[in-house]
Amino acid sequence: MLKIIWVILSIVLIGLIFLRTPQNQGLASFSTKSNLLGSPSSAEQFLNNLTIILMIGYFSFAVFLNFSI
Amino acid sequence: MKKTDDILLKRLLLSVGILLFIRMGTFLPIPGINHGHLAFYIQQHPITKNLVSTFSGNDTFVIGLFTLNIFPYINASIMVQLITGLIPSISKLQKEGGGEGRRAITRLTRLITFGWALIQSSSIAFYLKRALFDWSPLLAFEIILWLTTGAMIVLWLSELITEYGLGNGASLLIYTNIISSLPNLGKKLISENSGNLSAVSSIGIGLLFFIAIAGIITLQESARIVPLISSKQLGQNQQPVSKSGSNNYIPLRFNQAGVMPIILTTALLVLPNYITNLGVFPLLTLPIFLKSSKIIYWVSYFALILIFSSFYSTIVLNPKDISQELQKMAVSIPGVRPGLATTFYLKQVMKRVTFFGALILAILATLPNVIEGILNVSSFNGLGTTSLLILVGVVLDISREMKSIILSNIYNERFD
Repeated sequence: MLKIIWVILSIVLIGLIFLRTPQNQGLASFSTKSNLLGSPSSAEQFLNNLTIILMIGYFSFAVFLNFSI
Repeated sequence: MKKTDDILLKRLLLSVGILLFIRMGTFLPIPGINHGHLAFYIQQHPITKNLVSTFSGNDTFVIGLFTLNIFPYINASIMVQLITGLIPSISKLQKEGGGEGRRAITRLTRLITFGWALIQSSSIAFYLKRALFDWSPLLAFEIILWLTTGAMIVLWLSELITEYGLGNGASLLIYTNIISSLPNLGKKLISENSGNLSAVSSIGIGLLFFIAIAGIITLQESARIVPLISSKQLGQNQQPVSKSGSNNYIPLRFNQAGVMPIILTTALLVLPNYITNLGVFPLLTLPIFLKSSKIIYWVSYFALILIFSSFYSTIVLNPKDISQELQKMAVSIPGVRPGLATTFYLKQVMKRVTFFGALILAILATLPNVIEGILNVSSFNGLGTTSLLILVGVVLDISREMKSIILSNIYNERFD
């Protein structure tokens, strides 16, 4: 059961990361940094917060499964 | 000034926090793998340890959540850069597509990153078949899913650092990997060369690092200024404009290609080894021929860096494209006609600048090995020119970013 939840969590995390398009590309300069003078949109903020929560959940799963196996 | 300090502190703490989290994840073992069996196998087979080190960039026996680290993304970025340079439609999408074009390229990079993560995690999962007694296809699937998700999380975290932290995320992660291997490198250097390490060789090594870092800073920061003048400026001022009087210019850096020439050269020179190891051509003794004739090897290394540097620089900065952009903006180079004449002029300047930059890069790349031979000191593997280029480049990048944050906030505070 736990492993099924973990598989679903992984797939959802990968999907969320694909959804989020960064403002800058990998080697873009600092001059296009977001949040320097403004703030990110609420949708982006929501996506970021959701990803952080799921990531912490994913990490906790890894710790828990390591101790249980 | 207090507001600037707060901003810098927040960004720094975010970057450091994320880096610490990723380091923790690298050492958190994947559930289901018996690391006792793995450690036993690695003791018997050093090649497996090298395989894990190649993927993770550090010298550990643990296959952790973030073992693949940022490397799938780096591979994908290199691939997309090469594709953009070689395929005209994708190059057009990047240049003329605007925001939508750039987003399409970003999505392509992420897709390729995911592909690379799958390939690399699969190769680890199937390689472990010989190390783990309880290996099964289900365990392989679990390993692949853990590692791939870990790689995508690291990609996402590196983007967070780039947007909200200090420094470029991907570069900082590579920087962390190099820095973390320095204590082991120092230990190895001293233990393997305790007999050869005299005062002269220690001074020689110190001097080598000083020259290498000074050379790299010169390479990264130096640029050939190509002055520009707009048609508006020409119209306003009827006097002949001196080349040195212009405020606008194109900085043509000596090293446009970065570390790519060294990476491509190393990849090419390792090919004969792979071919021989396949066992398809048993009579092929090319690697032995190359390895034992060190002078031939290092001359080939030097020449290939020069060739790849020139090739890669034209991909990064195309004189024809610059000339067309200048024409569109009604800007020209003083004394040079717009169009073909500008393209030709830029080609000439870039040829000289690239050759000089490639020469410095090739000298810096082969210098550690020359010193190794002269001083009879081994174990500079792990801190070659590529690593130093990355270390120095990241530090310079962060200092530039901090200066710009301070400057932008000075104006904000003045008008508040």
